[in-house]
Amino acid sequence: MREGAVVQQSSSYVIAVLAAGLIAGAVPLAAVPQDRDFGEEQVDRQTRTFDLGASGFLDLTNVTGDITVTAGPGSRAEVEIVRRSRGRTAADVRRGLDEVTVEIVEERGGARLRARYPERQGRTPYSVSVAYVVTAPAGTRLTANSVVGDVTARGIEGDVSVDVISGSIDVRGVRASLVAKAVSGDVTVADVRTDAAVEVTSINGDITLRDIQGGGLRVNTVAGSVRVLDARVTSADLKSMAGDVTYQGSLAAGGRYDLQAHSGDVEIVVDGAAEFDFDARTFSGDITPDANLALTNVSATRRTLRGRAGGGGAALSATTFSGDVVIRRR
Amino acid sequence: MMTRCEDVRPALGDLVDRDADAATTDAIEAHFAGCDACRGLAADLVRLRDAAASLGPVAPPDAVWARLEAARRTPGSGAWRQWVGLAAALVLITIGVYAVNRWTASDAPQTSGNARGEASVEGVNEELRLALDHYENAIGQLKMLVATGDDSLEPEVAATLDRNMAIIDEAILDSRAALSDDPSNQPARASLLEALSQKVNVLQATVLLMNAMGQGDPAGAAEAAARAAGKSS
Repeated sequence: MREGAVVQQSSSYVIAVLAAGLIAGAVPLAAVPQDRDFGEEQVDRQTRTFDLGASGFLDLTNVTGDITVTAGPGSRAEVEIVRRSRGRTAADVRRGLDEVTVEIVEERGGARLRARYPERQGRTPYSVSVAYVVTAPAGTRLTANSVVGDVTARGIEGDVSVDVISGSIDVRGVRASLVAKAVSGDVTVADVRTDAAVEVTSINGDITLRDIQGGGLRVNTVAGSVRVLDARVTSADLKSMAGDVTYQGSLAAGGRYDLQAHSGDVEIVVDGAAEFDFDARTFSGDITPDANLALTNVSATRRTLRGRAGGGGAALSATTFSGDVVIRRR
Repeated sequence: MMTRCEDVRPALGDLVDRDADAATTDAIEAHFAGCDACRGLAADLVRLRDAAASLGPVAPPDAVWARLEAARRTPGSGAWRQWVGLAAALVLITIGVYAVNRWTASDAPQTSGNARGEASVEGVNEELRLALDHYENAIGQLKMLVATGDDSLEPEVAATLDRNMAIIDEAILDSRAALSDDPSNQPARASLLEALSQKVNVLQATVLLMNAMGQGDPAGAAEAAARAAGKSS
């Protein structure tokens, strides 16, 4: 969600936002961009600074609005809180800013910020979004929760946990554990160097991971594709129900790689020297191994293929119900 | 050296649980190279274990207990019976999941010749059937929870939810149809378990959203719902 997007949103965007965020009324009406004559707008900006140390924590909770976190030098985090209020009159706008606040709690080694909306039934005469623009020490442990809005993290090397109901997640420069979960939204992760667990899920959205090096990888979406590119991980568990699953990268000796789709294809592109035991199965699709795989100990039927590349070692499994399985060397 | 299926199958449980020693693991994997049946049994066991682990125990949300208690204290309130039912449903889900979860239970009793460690076609089929029953039970009760609280859903919201569910239901139907023709088909089994697991997760996410909102905590809903949504990974 770009700056100023509040006033430029199309009705379809608003419906999409409502569709995910208003499940069971998860978003207060005061937080919803409402298609009324909200011609007045006022933006309030305040900046807070917290001494987190080298590996402190930052816990950000939001209802509507983006969260952007970037690594910076030093041991202090600077958080700019941007509250954007819209309404029909200047008084309504002002009231929005008065009633929608951000609760800030400083604790030993960290800080928690939480957007607070008034408990109110029915429509409010205003609409308020809250954005956090953060610069934090690289070692910060970050938790970001948002109902509606995009979350971006750059260069945060502590543990990162991001939960979003409706919005995209974009995390780059991971050096510890990562948990990124969206109910409705795409997830992009890049530049990962960690032996800690990396777990990425979405119910409705595409997931793309690029330049991933480290330990275990678990990726799952219902409606969307899963693409893991330029990967050097020791294990991978990749699943999509209504989308394609792609793994491109190396296979570690003794590693386990399970790729599963229902209606989508499974595509595997292994690095040239990879040695592995391959097991592919499909109910109604085709299995197409590239000739240069040079598989041995091959056992094949129309819908299954097993074989060994080189001396074996890594266990590579591909399963799809109605899609195809394609495997080749890079 | 394990060269016969009857030697290999008792050890498959340990292999799946990663309790087998290196020599046993090597021997079993060597056997797999020439035995699709044992290899298929092991794959089924792995999927059952993963399915159970991904579902996990479902803790009744605090809001359910809070509402139950509030309703109980309200004389003449008919609503409390409903909440008793909902709470009970969640407990049943939890119990059901624990029942399935025995494949990962580290303290399961193990004696020589114990059936836990042994695998047979019939045994795995029975475990699969039990797992499916538990999933269906959980789905039925979660759907009841969702239906109870969905009066706040906008039509567009309901449509979006329906679209996601339709994808999952289609996968379930596809898989079941395939299994009716070929009950041992591995891709169909894998898809069915995954689809059921996803359906439970989506329903859980919806229920947790409703409960978080019931606690007046819309921001907390993000964490709760996304956490539930991600269980299957």
